[in-house]
Order: sequence, then structure tokens, then C-alpha cells
Amino acid sequence: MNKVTTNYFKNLFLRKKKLLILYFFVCFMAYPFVMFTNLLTTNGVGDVQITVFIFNVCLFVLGIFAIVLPIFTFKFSLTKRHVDTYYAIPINRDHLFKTHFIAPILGVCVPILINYLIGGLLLLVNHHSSVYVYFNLLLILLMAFAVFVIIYSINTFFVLKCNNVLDACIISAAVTILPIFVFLAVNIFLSTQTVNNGMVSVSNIPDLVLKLLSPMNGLVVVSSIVRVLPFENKFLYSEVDWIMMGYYLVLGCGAVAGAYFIFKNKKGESAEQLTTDFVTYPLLSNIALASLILCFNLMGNDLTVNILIVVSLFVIFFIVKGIARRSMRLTPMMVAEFVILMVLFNGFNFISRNTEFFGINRQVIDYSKYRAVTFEFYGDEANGCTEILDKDVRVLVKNMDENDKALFDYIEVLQNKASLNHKMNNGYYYVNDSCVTLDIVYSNGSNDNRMVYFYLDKEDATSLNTLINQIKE
Amino acid sequence: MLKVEAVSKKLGNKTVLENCSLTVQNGSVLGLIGPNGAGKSTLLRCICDVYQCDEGSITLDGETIHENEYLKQNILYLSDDPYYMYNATIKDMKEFYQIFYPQFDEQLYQKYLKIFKLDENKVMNNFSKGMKRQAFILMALAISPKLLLLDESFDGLDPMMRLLFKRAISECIEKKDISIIISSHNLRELEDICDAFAILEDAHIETSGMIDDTKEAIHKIQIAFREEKNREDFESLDIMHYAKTGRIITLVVKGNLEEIKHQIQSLDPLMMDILPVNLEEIFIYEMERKGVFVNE
Repeated sequence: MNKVTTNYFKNLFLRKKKLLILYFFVCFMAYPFVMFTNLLTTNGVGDVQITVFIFNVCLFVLGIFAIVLPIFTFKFSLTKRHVDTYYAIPINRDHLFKTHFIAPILGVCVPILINYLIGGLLLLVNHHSSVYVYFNLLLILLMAFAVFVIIYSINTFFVLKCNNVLDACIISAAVTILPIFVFLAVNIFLSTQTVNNGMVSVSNIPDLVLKLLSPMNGLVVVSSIVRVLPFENKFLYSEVDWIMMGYYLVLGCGAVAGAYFIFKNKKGESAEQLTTDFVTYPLLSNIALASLILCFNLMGNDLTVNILIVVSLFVIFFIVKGIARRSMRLTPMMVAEFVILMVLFNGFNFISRNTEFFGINRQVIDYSKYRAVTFEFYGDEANGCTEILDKDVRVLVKNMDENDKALFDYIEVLQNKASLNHKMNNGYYYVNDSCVTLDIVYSNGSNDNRMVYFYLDKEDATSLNTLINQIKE
Repeated sequence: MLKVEAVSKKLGNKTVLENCSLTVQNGSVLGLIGPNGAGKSTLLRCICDVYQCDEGSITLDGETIHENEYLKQNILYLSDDPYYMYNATIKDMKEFYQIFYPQFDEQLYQKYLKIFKLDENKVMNNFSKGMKRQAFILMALAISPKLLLLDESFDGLDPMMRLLFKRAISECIEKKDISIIISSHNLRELEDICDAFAILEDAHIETSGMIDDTKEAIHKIQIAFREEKNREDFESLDIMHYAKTGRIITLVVKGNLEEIKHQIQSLDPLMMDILPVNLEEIFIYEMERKGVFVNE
């Protein structure tokens, strides 16, 4: 960096000196002040919990900063007035990017770090019992900073892909929220598509999707380590999903490189124009629609419901596109996009159902994995509302008697029948009339349990009902 | 010397500049004239590297301006609505510009601060449009770059301030040999300060040259005849504008004055007056000739 760039870098901090002083004061109140108060009062784990609480607040603040700061930092490339000045002043794009990218990271992290170290020194000098935990937390704080930089980089990438401030705000919010939305959609889709019998677990797929799509999860991981640390009194390397952290790191590095490349090639004239880049509205709105289609598919509903679903989805899609285009004009392209997505994802849904979720549902139950299974039978009454019937039994796999065995055998027969018959609305499979819910508790000692669904037709349900009653007796 | 050679620029699908060439000599003040949407601001933005031209080249003293941060220390662009940081004072903006322009002259700054009667510690958000312009003109004068690009910078200034600004600019040109490109709609204002002009119309530079030379080549003539004459009677002349009120005809003609006079005399006029022509009229007649509008 040359002298001009160095001076500009300093100027960026000087411009915000009042804000930085206030922020430093807040950090001081959070760390050394609390540490000092701790020293004057008690000595033990209770004090550490305050530190942990502040630490979690700090993680939350880092998360907020990581979303908001890129918009403020790179606003100068999104408005014409800023562009006219910043692109004309004698500093090249390379230096302009570096200064604006690095300054907020230092502005956020350094005050926290300094105050944290002051707090640690206070504990160290006074030989406080929590000093070990405190310095262990320092390592995690550094990890939190790394996650903050990764999220900040990814958001910077998306902000730079935008052409105006409003779009930058919307896209940043979408990038943060959409992974949760996709997670819910995948969760709903899998819960309705799979007969999770324990042979092949698909229940961790939504979590994996969320982790892969949202580096915010990195802060959750850090928070989970912090939560247990005071009681374990050691750095819990095993708590960290290092593969996922490595993935986030790669994602962050890619985002920095991408953001740099976008900024270097960003045209001055694009400021205040509509954002049309593929990874912004086009991609995100399509992901949102695809998620909605997975949640509200057209299989197994009557025509009225399907029409309602299609109209509702189109209205949502139209509004999102309208925001992106700042125009509420319907275009053939928009309709084509909607139709393609509807066909594609409903087609996927259809194939999934007709192949018993790509063959996974055909696999048989492995009893040895269960400690207990609870059955709940849901039936459809004349008024059309599904209600829970008073048929509930808890079957212990351990000490299983002949009747229990018969029940499992019966469920397996039903399952196999369902898998062999590919009927949709009037067969053994995916019937809305009735279903059996199994709440499974696994035999591995953990508290992990899950709900699985068997959809049966009325005839089978009645038979099962009889069987359950026999067991109860 | 600034050289703009065959510059073309598209904004979206619209061609805003096409094959535009221009030369600005050191110490020269060029007035960039054109109707709204002609591409004046785009050309200025291309020169100062806010926009990158699609074709052509822009050089200052033989060096390309694009991404050349050392060369850009010699260029200052003031847009029609210059940016200032939120809650920034003139002093803050001075500090900002001082970083990028090492030649920033503190004495000149203080001098013009007094002349413009501005308070450097006041927040610019509360300034009127004119005061904001004064503040940025103050920066421009203190920086005195080799090439100053002013996009409609006269707008919003009261007559007194315009006068002060013109004087200050003349002083800068004299002392520091700076070149200036000013785009404005107020052509009468430009005429007093510019020695060269360029008319930008429909993405092209239609006419350019020295104002005095052009004025010498364009003549406004008022003639009266005994009997009625029509435009066809003056076919031999290069007429830019023709207006007829009864038997009095007003012509704006390009060419050698003596030859024009000679040709008109041959039609035996009752009287013939040569009237002064200003830059605004040149612009209007050029636009009229291109068919941009009809000035009856």
C-alpha cells in the first residue's frame, strides 16, 4: 500500500472516531468491567457464566455486524453520488477494495480483543480461578472472529453483486434467511416423502443443508462450545465440526476472491440501476419458489386445493419478481420461469413418491436400533378433519413379547405392501385418510427420537387398530 | 494536454457516446454544450475514469488515465451533485481531499474560504445547494489540478458568487496553467470564461473549436429589401438560421464575412446590419440545423 492508501485507511477510522469510541466503551463494559466486578465479588463457575453470557452476546453482535457492515462499507459503489467521487479520486480499485474491506474487520474485532485481553490480565494478576477458562475462551473468540470474517466476506460478495442500496439490503436479508427457509422446506419434504424406518437415516439431511448454506451456523458451533466450556474446563476440539469449519473457510476465501473480482470490474454506470445478476434475485427467488413447491406440492390434493396452491405460489413469485424489477408487469419470461420450476419440482416430487423416495422407503425395519416405539393412530372423521383417535400404545422392544413382535411384523407387512404397490390416492401408500405415527427412541442411549409416518388406507388402519387394542389388553 | 480519441460508450443498450474526439490544450477552458441527455456528463465521467469507455482512448499528457492513481492526482471531477460524508464539515471534506491530492494548497483554501464566507466547521448537511457548490469549488481551487472537470457547477450559484468563481478560475489558470472542462446549460456564463467549446449532440461531438474563431466564422446579419425575398434567394450562402418578419430578414450564416456581404449586396438590400452572435446562439442554431428543434 502506498502513502495515499495508508492515509485513507487511517481516515476511514478517524471519520468514525466517535462511533469507535462508543463501541470501545461498550466492549470495555462487557469485558474488563465485568471481570473487575467479578474479582470484587465471588470466585467460581457462576462468574464464568457471566463471561459466557457476554461471549454469546458478542457472537450475536458479530453476526449482526457481518450482515450489516458490508452494506455500509460498500455503499459507495451503489449510489451515483458516491461513485462519482470514489471512482474519480486518485486511488485504484485494488487499494479501494482492500481498505474498505479490511477497515470494518479491524474496527469490529480489535476493540473486542483489546478489552478481552485487559479483562484476562485483570484475572491473571489476581490469580482468579476462572482465568484458565477465560484464556480458553480467547481461542474460541479468535475462532468467532474467523467465522465473522467469513460471513462478512460472503455478504460483501452479495452486496457487490447488487447495484443499489435497497437491493443490497434485500439480498443480504435473503442470504441470511433463505437457508432457514430451505431447511424447513427440505424438512417438510422429507417428512412427507420418507418412511424413515431406521435403515437409512435421512433426518440429518435438512441439518446438513442448513449447515452448508448458512455459515451463520459457524457462530452457533462456537456458541455451543462456549456453553459447555465452563463445566468441562478444557478446549473441546471434539465439539467443533472441523470439516464444516474448513468448508466455511473455503467458502469465505472464495467469497473474498469473488468480491475482489466483482469490485475490480464493477462498472460505475451500474450504480442505482436494477440488480439483474444471476446470483441475486434470479437465483434467490427461484430457490424460494422451489422451497415453497417442495412444501406445497400438487400430489395427492384435490383440484381446488391445487388451484389454490398454484395461484398462491404465483402471487408470491410475482411479488418477489416485482420487487426485483421494480415493476408489476407480467412478462412471458416470468410465467415461463414459474411453469418450468413448477414442472421441475413437482416432477421431482412425483418421481420421489413413485420410487418410494428413490428406494429408501423399501428398506426394512431394524428393531435392534430401537429401545422403544410409541404408536399414535390418526384417523379421518366424517367432518373431514383429521383428529387423534384414542389409540395409543408404547411398545418396549426390550422384553418384547409375542404380541409386540406381531405388531412389528404387521407394520413391516404393511410397509412392504405399501412399497410394492405404487398407488397414490386409493392404495396402501400416502393416503390422507389415516396414518400411524411412530415415536422412536433409539437403543444407543441418546435421547434422540423421531417421528415417522406410515400412511395406511382405512382397511389396514382398522386392522391395526384391532391389533393395538389386543396388545393393550 | 487532454486527448479524447474516438471514444464510444454504451449505457445499457443506448449508445451515449459514439466516436467522440476532443483535445483540450493546457491552460484552456472548454465549454461542453449539449441538450439534456446528449452525453456531457458521461463524457466527463469517462475522462475521470468513473466510467470506462467501450472504445477509444483518453490520455492526459500522453498517459492513459484508467486506474492510474498518480495521474489521477492531476484530475478533479466535480459532479452536479458532489458527495460529502454524512454530517461532514467543510474541514472534514478538506481532510478527505488532502489525502488524495498532495498538492492541496492550504493557503489558497483559507483565502477562498474567507472570500466565499464559509464556515469550515459547519455541517454541510445544513448548507443550501449554492453553499455546497461553493464548498466544492473551494476544494477545486485549493487542489488546482492540472485538469478540472466541472459538471454544471455554475448552477445554484448567485451572480456574485459566479463572478467570484470566474475570477478565481482565471487566477488559477494564470498561475497554475490548469485546464478546465465545464459542462453547463447556461451558455452565456460559459462564454465569459471559456476559450473553446464543443457541442455534444446525439452521442456525437457535432462541433468544436475556439470560441473566437467560431464567432469570426459565424455571422448574424439583418437585411431589409424593397421587395419580398425568400430563403431560396440566399441559396448560395451556408445558412444556419433564417427568420423573416415582413421584408426584414435575419440570417445566421457561416463563412467569410466579406464574401457573404458581397453576395448579399448583389441582391440590392435597402439596409444590412452585422449583429454580434453569442455562444448560446451558436448552440441554438447548430441544434436547429441538426433538426433537434425548430426556432421560429
